[in-house]
Amino acid sequence: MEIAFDFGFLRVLRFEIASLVDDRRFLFGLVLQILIISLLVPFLVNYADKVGSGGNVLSTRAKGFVPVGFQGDGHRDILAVLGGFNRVKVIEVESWTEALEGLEIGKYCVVLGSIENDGELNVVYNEGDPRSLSAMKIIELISDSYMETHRRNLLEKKLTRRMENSDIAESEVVEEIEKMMETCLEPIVLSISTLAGGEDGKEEGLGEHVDPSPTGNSGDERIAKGNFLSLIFISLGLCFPLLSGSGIMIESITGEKERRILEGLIGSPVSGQSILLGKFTTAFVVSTIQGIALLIILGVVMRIQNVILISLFLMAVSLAVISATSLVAVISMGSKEANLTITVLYVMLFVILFGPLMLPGTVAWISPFTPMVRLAAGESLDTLSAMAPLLGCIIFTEISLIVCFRLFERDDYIFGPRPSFRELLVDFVSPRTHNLKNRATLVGICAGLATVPAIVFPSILLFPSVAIIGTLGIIPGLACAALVEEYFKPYGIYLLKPLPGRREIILLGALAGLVFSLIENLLFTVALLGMSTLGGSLVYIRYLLAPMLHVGLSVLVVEGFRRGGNFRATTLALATVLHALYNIVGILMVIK
Amino acid sequence: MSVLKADGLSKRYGNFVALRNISLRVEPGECFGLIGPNGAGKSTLMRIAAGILSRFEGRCMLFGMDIKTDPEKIKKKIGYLPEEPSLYTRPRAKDLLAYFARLYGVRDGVYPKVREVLQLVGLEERAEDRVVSFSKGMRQRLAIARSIIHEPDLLMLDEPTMGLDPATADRVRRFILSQRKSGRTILLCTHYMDEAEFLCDRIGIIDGGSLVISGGIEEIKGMCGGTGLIEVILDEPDLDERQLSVFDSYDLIPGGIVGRAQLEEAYDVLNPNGIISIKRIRPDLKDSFVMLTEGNGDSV
Repeated sequence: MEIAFDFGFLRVLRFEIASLVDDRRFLFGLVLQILIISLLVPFLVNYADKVGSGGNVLSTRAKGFVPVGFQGDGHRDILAVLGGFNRVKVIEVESWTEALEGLEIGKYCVVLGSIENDGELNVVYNEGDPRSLSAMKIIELISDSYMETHRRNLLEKKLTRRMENSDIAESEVVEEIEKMMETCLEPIVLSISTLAGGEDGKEEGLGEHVDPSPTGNSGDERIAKGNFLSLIFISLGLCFPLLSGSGIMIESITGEKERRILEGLIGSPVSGQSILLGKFTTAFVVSTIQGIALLIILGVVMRIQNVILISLFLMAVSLAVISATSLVAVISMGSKEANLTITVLYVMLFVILFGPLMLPGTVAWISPFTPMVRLAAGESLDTLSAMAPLLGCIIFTEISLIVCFRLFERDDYIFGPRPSFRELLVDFVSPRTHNLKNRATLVGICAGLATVPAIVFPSILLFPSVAIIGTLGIIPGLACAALVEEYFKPYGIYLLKPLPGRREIILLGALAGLVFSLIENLLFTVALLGMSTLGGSLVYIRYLLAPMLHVGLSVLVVEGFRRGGNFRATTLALATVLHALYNIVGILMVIK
Repeated sequence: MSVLKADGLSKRYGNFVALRNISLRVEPGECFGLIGPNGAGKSTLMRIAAGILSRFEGRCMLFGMDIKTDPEKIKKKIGYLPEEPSLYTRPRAKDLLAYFARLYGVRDGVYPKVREVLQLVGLEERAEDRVVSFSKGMRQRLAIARSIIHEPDLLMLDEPTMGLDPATADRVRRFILSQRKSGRTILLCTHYMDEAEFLCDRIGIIDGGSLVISGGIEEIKGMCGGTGLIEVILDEPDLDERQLSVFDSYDLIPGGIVGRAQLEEAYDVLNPNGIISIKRIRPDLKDSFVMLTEGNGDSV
């Protein structure tokens, strides 16, 4: 596309920046936002740390938590096993009161020790979220062990009683009991080991946590470099300056459009592209300054590393977000509409930015926040991995801005009425369809794209999981498919302006029908390949009747379109009914 | 060379046709008035000429250049006052004008130029004040100052006195008159007939998106009024159905009937109602406008 920039955008930029600087309330808002986020993020990070360090503050009281007291000397074996896991902590406490209070508030999972003896008293808790699955498993296992030990105690007492009434030597009985106890304890120890994943994978079982790193760093390394949840909170805090930029963009495009200020600006000798670029740059500059200021503060307070590199990524994200906002601002005719749309955009944005962070492997790199989190944790990035999200942001920005410039050139996006998507397409293809060859190509492409429903429909029949839906709605489905196909098949002809003569329209209509049926048949052939039962009648219907039907019905629809008025709806309805009947007959023949 | 030469201009807003095949000329140094009822297409025509609307059919040449191909060059020679001159409200008056001066390519002596135009529109005392504190009339004058900041060759004013109090409206009219006397070409869009009659050399009447007529004011009045209008004042002005039907075949306009034969017949019919006075009157632009637009709109 032709982009005609002049330096007028610098004048617009200068004025917009000066206006913002002159607006004390706006400046106060910006500074306040930075302050609030600077305070809030450390607080949230502290929260994350608390959660990560075993819930010293949080009372879990989660459903399923069963405070368990363990009595007896056998717990030492359990302690020995538990000591092998990095997330399972065992500490000694001074009194039973303290231990029981810990159990009560959910701080600890299990108390190991004896009430009767004054010996060592231990509590067990799980590092990380005390409500995690691994914590539950610890409780379950230790509960089992407790029950088992209790059972053994009973057994021991019974045996002792028997011994007292028998002739067997005491030493033999003791030996037998110890052997029995070992046998009882063994399955529990084994069970814990299994949970831990064997010798090599101990830390993966009870010490596991999410690892966004595509390079697969171990959990220990990650814990050493910072809490993942903390980094998420920091990233979330850095998103707020993006919202400021978006707000500026909405106000300076949609707001000015709404208040008719833009008319005076467009009347000036500065091109529309320069006006848009000036406003875009303003929003970008403000959000970047705010973002970097925030990053520096958080960097100092939270000891974040690689601040400069993170700034680079933040700027790339800022570019992409503000360009997407620009698109919304240009398309929207009012601030209310723009704000509503932007809310949906934010939701999508947060999913794109934060969703992949939770995913393992290379998928995580879809989000530009992945390298930011990695950098904040003090890790180094390889150039290729870093370039992927960076380039993604830049390409997205470029595409969005080009579309913005295109749309901003159109006065109907400023003064209304806003054009429909079809009108935009008509304007786009009109200059390119001056000769018959191009018109035929356009009609062919559109007919080809109209086969998408033809891909979806066989999938309903082929996949058992959706077959029930297909069966329930088969008749309406057939009718809907017919309507969609008949409407979209000759879509290329609707885009022609001016409309060609009758003979050419009929020819193009026939071409649309033919192209559609050829591609549809090809797709059916691929989809139904290997289904030996679907022969005979289907082959006849699909490969012989379908092309003739599609050509005929497309010609009918385009002739109605050419005549205009009620003919359009009538011919489309007639074609749909005939097509639906054909579909139903076809299906019945196949079933038979 | 005409300052403005429009040929076959047509513009649609969706299915609504705002302009139909309009052609007109504006010559250097003249004040050309576009008059017509609300929604006639005056502002649309002006927006096309100002390079604000770019999607239209036909050709619009200004200063010998096509507005579609050379919009930036043409805009530098145009001062445009929109129908709703909405302004940024945060900046001070002088800063707002300085911004637009720079946009229009004024490089040196921006602030002296700003002071000059503010003086011209009588706002020099308010140069330091923020626009938000301005009244509607002051904002209108500031918008006019904005449109002349770069000394344009063609001044396009869309309803410059609409909604202003009589004193401010009169002030604006005197300003336009001074601009006209200084030799600046003016394209004035208004639906105040007296304003058009007072300020314009030539006018074009637009109705329903079409140019009904264009020419000198006297020429148009002559074309519409013929030999003049007859004013009849009745003692009992309420006419019954039978009496009203006498006018069915006549070229009737509100407030007058045309032609001698009509007068005689009307006299016979109206006599029972008691004629107080009967006299020939000279048609004004309003009569011509109402006749040509068949009473559409609410222009005065």
